[in-house]
Formats: sequence, structure tokens, C-alpha cells
Amino acid sequence: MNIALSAVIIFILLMPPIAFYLSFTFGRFAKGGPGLLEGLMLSAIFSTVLHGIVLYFIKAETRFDILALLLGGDLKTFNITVTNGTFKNLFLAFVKYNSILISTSIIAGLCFRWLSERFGWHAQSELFRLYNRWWYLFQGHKIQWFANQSTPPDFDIVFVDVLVNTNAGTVIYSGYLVDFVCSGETLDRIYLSETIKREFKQNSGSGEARAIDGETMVIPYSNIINMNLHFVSFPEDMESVPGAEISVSGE
Amino acid sequence: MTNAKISPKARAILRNRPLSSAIAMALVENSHTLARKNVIVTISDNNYIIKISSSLTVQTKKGK
Repeated sequence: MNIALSAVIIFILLMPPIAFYLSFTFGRFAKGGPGLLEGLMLSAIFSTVLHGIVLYFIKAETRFDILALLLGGDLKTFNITVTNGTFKNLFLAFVKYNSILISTSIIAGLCFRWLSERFGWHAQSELFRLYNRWWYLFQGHKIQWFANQSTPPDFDIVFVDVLVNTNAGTVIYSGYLVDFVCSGETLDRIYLSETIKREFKQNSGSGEARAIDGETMVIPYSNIINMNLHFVSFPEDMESVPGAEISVSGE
Repeated sequence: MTNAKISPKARAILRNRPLSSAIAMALVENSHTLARKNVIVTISDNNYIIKISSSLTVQTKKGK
């Protein structure tokens, strides 16, 4: 019994739903996929339905006996059942069938992705979600969910206060969130600009604020205790303001 | 290219280091009121209101 051959054929038959899913969720910050067992089960279910629908419309004879022979792996009677020439034609038909089905699945996945982004379904429904949860958080979509709004709030940048465990104790780092890196659904590190450091004091708030020199600060998520995000909007006429004689106050 | 949302206006402000650093310090110094209120930055006798649309706290597994 040739297990490898039947495994390859089964994998090819399972490919259309996998191709659809991958083309729907590809790209940076893609959401984490289902586990191996769940993925195989879902692929098997959707493949069976899909092949059933397509075969319903194919009028030409489908040689299931050859397919069963190959899947069973018992190839002793193969040369009696089918000639070389016939098998070549059947093989080409199988390749054509799967190529069309996989290509259609990829196009359908890309179309669904476009529709999901165009109409904002990805931010509203778990089924259509495209990105991981950190992406939605940093893009302000969590606020949208909490406030039950149809679009995320309009803001210019995220300002973050991060409570971090260091060798010298617990420290609050604050700065503009300029970048972040994720691995699947897990945040790996964040990048802050104009970082300000304060010592964290358990009972009396925070210590004196000191600006950290340097362009960007990288903080690994493994050291972060918690984060406070502020979605900041700058006034319209501020970008051309020279940075001199600045004073600040709360409103 | 960065992955965080930074509007063109914010990019222009980030390029102005003294200004962006002053605003960052203003946001830190007013951090206790950030959840509800805005911050006024006065530059050369002109007041600019930095709006805080929303604030969110994210607790990690280590957070208490």
C-alpha cells in the first residue's frame, strides 16, 4: 500500500479551502489560523462540499475507480484497470480540474478580503477578521467596539505609557508608538519615539520625568506589565509651529 | 514604513524634535488627567489643544 501517494492526492483535494483561507488572511499582522486538527477538519468538510458542488456540474464521466485505486494504494491491478494513454488523459484532467478550482478559490479569497476591508466587516465580525488583535487595538478599533461606533476614532498617533520590569525596578516609559512587531497573535515588541522615563512608585504615583536621548526605544513585550494607550489628535495648524518657547498645562 | 498609525500631520510633528518632545512631556505631565481632558501646549503665546480621543489600559498576564 502506497501511503505517500494517497496522502499527496488527499492533500491536493484538500487544497481549495486552504488556498481560499490563505489568500483571505495573507499579509502582515495576519490573524492566527486554526490549529492543525481544526484546520484539517474544516478543510475536509469544505473540500467535500466544494467537490460535490463542482462534480454536480461536470457532465463528463469521472473515473472514481481509478481515484479509489490510487487512494487505496494497492496498485497491483492498475495496469489491468487503465492503460498508460488513458491514465495520461485522466491525470491531465485531474491537474486541470484542481488548477481551476484552486485558482478560483484564490480569486474568491482575494475578493472576500477586498470586500471585508472595503465595508469594514473585518473589524466588526470575528468571521471576517483579517488581522491579529494587537493591530485592531493599536489602530483604535477597540474604542470603536466599546463606543459602538461604525468607524474607529480619528486620531493622529498613539501615545503609550508602558509599565516595564527592569533590573533597577519597575519603570514607566512613555512615548509615541511608532512601530510594533507581532508573531501571530502575540505582540513581540513595541517601538517608542520621544521616550520619557519615570520611576514607578507604588503609593505615590511616579517619579521625576526624564527624556531619553535617541531616536527610538525598543521595549520587548515580555518585560511589559501593562500599557496605557492614548489616541492623540493634534490641532490642524500645529505641524508648521516652530518648537521654541513651549509651555504646557492641562485643560 | 511603520506598522503603527501615524498621520501625515503626526509625521511632520515628529520631525520637529523640540516640538514633539515638548508635546510628549506635556502628555506625561498631565497623564493623571489624560483619560478625560485635553492638554494645552502654549507656543509663542499661542495655545494649541492636543485632543485625547480615548484612553485604554491593556493588562498583560504579568499585570496586577
